[in-house]
Amino acid sequence: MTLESYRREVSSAKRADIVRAAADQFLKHGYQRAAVADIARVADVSTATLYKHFGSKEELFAATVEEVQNAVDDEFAQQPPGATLAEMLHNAARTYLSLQFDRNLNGLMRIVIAESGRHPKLGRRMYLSFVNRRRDGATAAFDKMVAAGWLKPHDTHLSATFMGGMMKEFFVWPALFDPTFTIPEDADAKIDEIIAVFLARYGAGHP
Amino acid sequence: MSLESYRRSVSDAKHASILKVAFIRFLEDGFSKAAMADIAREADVSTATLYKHFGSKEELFVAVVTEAASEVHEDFGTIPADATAEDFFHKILLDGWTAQRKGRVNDLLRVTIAETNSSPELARLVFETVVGGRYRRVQAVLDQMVGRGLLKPHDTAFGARIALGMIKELFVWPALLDPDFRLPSDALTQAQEAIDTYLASYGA
Repeated sequence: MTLESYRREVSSAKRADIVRAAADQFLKHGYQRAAVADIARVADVSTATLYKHFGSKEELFAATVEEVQNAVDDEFAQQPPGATLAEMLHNAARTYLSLQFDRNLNGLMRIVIAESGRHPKLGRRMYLSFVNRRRDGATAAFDKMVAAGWLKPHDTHLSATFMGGMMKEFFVWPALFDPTFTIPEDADAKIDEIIAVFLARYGAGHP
Repeated sequence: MSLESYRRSVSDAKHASILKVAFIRFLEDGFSKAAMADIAREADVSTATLYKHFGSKEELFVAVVTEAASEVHEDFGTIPADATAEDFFHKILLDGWTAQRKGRVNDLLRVTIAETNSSPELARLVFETVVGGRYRRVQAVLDQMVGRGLLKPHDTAFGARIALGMIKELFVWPALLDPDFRLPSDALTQAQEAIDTYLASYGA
């Protein structure tokens, strides 16, 4: 290993530590009260190092959210061979839930909404990350399903919007008002009902 | 005016003025930092009077949010007998839009969500009254539509959440994250597609 690549490796390990510590502190104290100095201490780096990686608290917060979302690049990507249309939609919805609950995206969303009155720039930026990016992923997946003849040709951007909205109503919205909200026991049944509504409008008769 | 009714009208006026002041204080200071003493002073009542009207800061906040969210109460019972399912949905939409805009409900919800971790009980109360209230209102209208034969009999509690979910994704979520959000010019076309999606499953 060259000195250069060694340095790069140390640097990216530090970055990962900082992001982990930041997620922890933001979720615990909220955006306003989380202190950059504390995050540096927990991550075991100097504040100077932290600021070398992330120019501001806002940068750091945005990176924290994006890191969680990067864990799942495409909710529709991983599908077992031979999956039916309804199964593919169901699997994508379960991936969505694991991001919201296992990675606590619901908690991070609460923080963003709380701050967006004071920090409209942060709110807008996070909207792009929380909503638009996922909607774009779903739109692309639906476009492929249209091309394959599985869905009727339609405005996939709008149908992806509705799919996101129906999922949020059941699995995100309640979590905004209840920090102890977990995946409900009837989640699979609810997901299937949502998919049935989607397919009644956009399905092309494919199972 | 009898003494009794005079007293009641003074009390009502004080109640209204407390709510008006509290609305502004909560929006500007947030729930934790808003002080009951300041609210009383600005409403020109004693703190004793304030507490006679609202037993606690939580109670006052929930009253403020409830009033904002229910500023408009469309009377769905008066919809003409020959109204279509679409007429009903348009009325629901209009009701929601007007309440959101006039009541600044999104701003109050943002204040609530900011407190979810520190005051879970408050958040639960707001969810139950405001969000739950909206579910129940929409569900009642859907039931009425089923009763008139405009929709198939279906699980209207689920239906209310599906319908609100689609509409909120279009117009409420963006507003929650962006205080400057305005309704897009093609809002009605987008909403129409949500209505058609609902009708594809549950239309009679």
